[in-house]
Parts: sequence; structure tokens; C-alpha cells
Amino acid sequence: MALLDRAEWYDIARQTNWTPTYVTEDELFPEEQAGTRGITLEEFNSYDEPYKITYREYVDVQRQKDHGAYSVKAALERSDLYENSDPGWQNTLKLHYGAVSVVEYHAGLMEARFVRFGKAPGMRNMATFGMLDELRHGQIQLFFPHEHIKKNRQFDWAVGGMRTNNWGVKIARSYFDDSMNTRDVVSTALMMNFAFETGYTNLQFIGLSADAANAKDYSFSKMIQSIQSDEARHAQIGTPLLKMLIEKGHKDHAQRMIDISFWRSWKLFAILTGMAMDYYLPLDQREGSFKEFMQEWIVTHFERGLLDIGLDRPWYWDTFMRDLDDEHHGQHLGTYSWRPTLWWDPAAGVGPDERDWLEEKYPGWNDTFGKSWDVLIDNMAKGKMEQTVPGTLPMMCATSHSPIVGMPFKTLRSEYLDYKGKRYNFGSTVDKWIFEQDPERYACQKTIVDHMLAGDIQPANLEGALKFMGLGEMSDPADDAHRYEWVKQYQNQLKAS
Amino acid sequence: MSAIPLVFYFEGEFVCKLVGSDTDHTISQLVEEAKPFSVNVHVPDQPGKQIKVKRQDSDEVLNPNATIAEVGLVPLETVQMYFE
Repeated sequence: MALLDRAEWYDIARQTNWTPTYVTEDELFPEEQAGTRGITLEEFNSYDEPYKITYREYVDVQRQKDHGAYSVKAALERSDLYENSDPGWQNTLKLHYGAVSVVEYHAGLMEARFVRFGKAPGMRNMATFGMLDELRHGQIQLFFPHEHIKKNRQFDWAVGGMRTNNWGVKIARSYFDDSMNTRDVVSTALMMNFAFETGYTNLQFIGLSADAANAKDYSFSKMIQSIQSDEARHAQIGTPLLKMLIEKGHKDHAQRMIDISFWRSWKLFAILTGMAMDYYLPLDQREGSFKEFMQEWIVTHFERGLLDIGLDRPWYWDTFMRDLDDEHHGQHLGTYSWRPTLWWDPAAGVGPDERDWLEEKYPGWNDTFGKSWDVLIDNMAKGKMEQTVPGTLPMMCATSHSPIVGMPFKTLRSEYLDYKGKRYNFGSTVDKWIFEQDPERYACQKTIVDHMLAGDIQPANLEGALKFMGLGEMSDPADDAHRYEWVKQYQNQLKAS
Repeated sequence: MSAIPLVFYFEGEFVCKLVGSDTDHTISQLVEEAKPFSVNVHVPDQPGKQIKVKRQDSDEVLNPNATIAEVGLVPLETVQMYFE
């Protein structure tokens, strides 16, 4: 049977819309879920998605992507690439899978809500493909780490981690619960498709893909390339919505949603990508610094996209630019210092040569973060290992759930707000501003410190905290990725002096 | 007397930390409670110097002999510590 050309039927099919007769439009698309702010069903017919594809084309392309990724994996499975890779890279994988894999399934649910509650037929069409994309991303990112579980139990966090109260998991979960799972579909599309996917996923999926290839992990590199090509397509769901909202006088709401999500994405990726790029990867495998990637993908591309569409830079742009020299260095020192609490073994990445690289990329690093590392390294070189893990918890930000960090001697401070008789601490003025937008949304989520103070962690010590966070059950408490081999360079310097 | 959690950071620290104390404890006792979590862990010791305490954003040095209740610190308030 001859098929019609796509152009002959596509616009009719993608514009198919409901004409409710048994229920009202508001009952069919409850505002709480649809979030369209008075824009009618008819007006949503003008939604024009920039990327058009048919189901037949989609399936064909996706089959090829899966074939490519799984073929590379199958071809390399019997090689010893993983065993021969640097522990810094191996643990970049564990960090990635534990934080990302199950979230992809949640993203499938987000797209499914778009399919049901999106008023624009074009949006529902794109979101159908987006939903299938995210299911694929969940499956492939659970299947790939599965082969490594027999080599290292920490890979089990890919499937189980998101169910724990690990503090690193709570950072990711609180962000995605806020931006992806608990808002109306228009707000969610702005926060996730526009702010998160058009900007930040490039960092993890393009930046890390290049690093993976340098580490000769072609299996991972090919897999995340295939994911990013999906992200680049369904990320475009947000842009036509944004244009409509601005046209209909809802720029303030759009700007606020993007400002919230952009900042929270930054805090998440400073940990997820920043530490891997600037500390975990061996020097000879680094494609560039985290700051350089941020400047290319976020400062240049995303900022331009914002301005082109008629939005403004987030009000905190200067703070954000300053934070590029700051946040991920502090989070790395923090995660490394409290390393038993992690599901991956962190690489320190502060040998003499690596410190030279850090000083070159981040002038002044040795006189700020380097000073704290000096104390840690001195204790390690002298065998005082008990001095290298603090006997208390870091204070956590009530919005982002990450430790409150800053540049030593320069930017460290805790912002705060007293709300309903309780003091809430924040990692920045931006985190505080986000909390103030909807205090009840954030006040009800306990940080690890809140759990400790509420008596949820028993016994109230490191042992109890580790158990509460899933350590000792899913995997043993973590330790230095290189088992402190790098410290020998400093021990030799000590002996020589 | 009652237990009170406070937030502190030493000059030169990169992270704010939690310390558990008591409203009847003096500021000097608070320093002794917080010190093992930072000094010689993330900031170097400075033998021969005293550790002073201020509220964050305040220039007033807290009296080392005053109790936490007397100076009016509230739960999860942040104090700065520094050598002088």
C-alpha cells in the first residue's frame, strides 16, 4: 500500500485536539495540572514545535541509536577496559549512574503528564516521544552499569540509590521533586525542558562524553551521546510555551520558574559534573576545565537563548559567575572529607601536578581551597587518618540540601531566614530567595541535619548516619578512589624536607 | 539548660559545620566543642593564639565567659571563629 508523504498528513495529525462536550475545558485540563494561566485550548493550537517527527521516523532513528550503543557495549564487554581504566573514571561512572538512572524514569512520568495535561496538541505529540525517550534512558542507564555490579557493589546504587536517604541522593531528589515532579506542566516544561535540558544536560552528556572517549570508555561515550541526541529534541518542548507565555503577559512567571530551576541545576551539576571534570579524571584525559565547559555551554549558549527569546538573565547572574570559581571546589572538598558517606569512592585529584593544573585554570586556588587541602594532606602524609574525616556534619542548605560551602577567606557564609519559629540556613542569597518564593514547598523537606536533630538517626553518630544513608547495606562506606597512592608523593616530599 | 545546635565556621574554612552545645555552656566551652571539627582538620592550628567568636555579620567579639543563653544565640545561628 502506498504511503502518503508526511507533508500531506502531518499537520492534520499533529493538530488533532479535544473538543470536550461531556466536561468543561477546566475539568478536562485542571489548572493545577495544566498551569496554562487562562490561555485557552484554541489559543494553544498556535503552539508550533520546532522539531517535527513522525512515529515511524522516531522508531527508526531510535532503533539505530540503540543498535549503535548496545553494539559498542557488546563488542567491548570482553575487553578489560573497565578494569584498566583509572579509578577516577570508574567512580565518575558510579556517581553518574547513582544520580541519573532512576531520575530518567521519573522524567518519563513528567513527559507522560505533558501528554495528558498539555493543552497544545503539538506539545502532547512531542511529549509522547519524550516519554519514550526517557524510558529508554532509564533502561539503558540501568542495563549498562549492571555488568559492573559483580566487579563493584557501588554500581548497585544505579537502581537502589534513589530510594535511600543518602545526602547526595537528597540533593538530586529534592531538585527533581521541585522542578520535575510537583508543578503544573507548563511550569515543569519551563524548568526542565528549557532551563535544565537546553543548558545543563549538555554539560553531563556532551562534556562527559568527550572525557569518556579520552578515557577509552567508548561504551559509555556512545551511550550518553545517544541520550543527548534525544534530549536535544525533546528539550525544545519548552521554547514555544515560553513564547506563548511572554505574548500573553506571563513573562514574570516564566522568568521566575527559569531562575529557580537554573540555579538549582547549577548546584546539582557543580557536584555531578564539576567534581568529575576538575578532580576525578586523570590530567591527560581532561577535555577542559568545568569552568570552561560552563562558559561555553551555559554562559555563551544558554544566556544567548534566554535573551533572544525575550527573557532576562537571572537576577543573580553576577553571583552565578562568581560561583563558577567556587561552588564545585567547595563541594569536592566536602564530599572528599566526608567520603565514608558516599556511594562512590572519590578521587582526591590534588597531587602536585594536578594542583598546578587547578592553579592555572583557577588562579588563586592554592591560596584558598588549597590551604584546606594542605591540612588534609599533611594529616594523611603523617598517617593521622582519624583527623581526615570531621566528627560532625556539614551544615546543609535548606533549599538545595547540599553543604553550605564557600571560598576560604572570601565567600563562605550562611544566609538564613527565620520562618514559623525555626531558623533555616542557606548556601547563598539565591537559595534563600528560592525558599522565600514558596516556603511551605521547601520547609517540609528535611535535610540530613534536620534528620539528625529530629532524632531520626540512631545512634546519633557517624555509624548511625551511615546506616541512615544506606551505607553498610547497599555498599560499604566509601574511601579514596586511589587508596591514597597519590599521598606518597607528599610523604616523599616530607621525608626529603 | 538545654541542648542547642549551632552552625560555625573558622576563618579559612570552606564549609559551615554543625556543633551541638548547651545553653549553659560558655563561649569558651563552645570553642572547645567546635575546635576538633575544624582545627587540624581543615584549618591549621595557630599555637599561642586565642580563638575569638563573633556572630556572623557582627564585629562584636562574644565574651568568652558568657553563656550561650546570656549572649542570646538561637538554635542554628551561625558564629564565626578566628585566631587572634
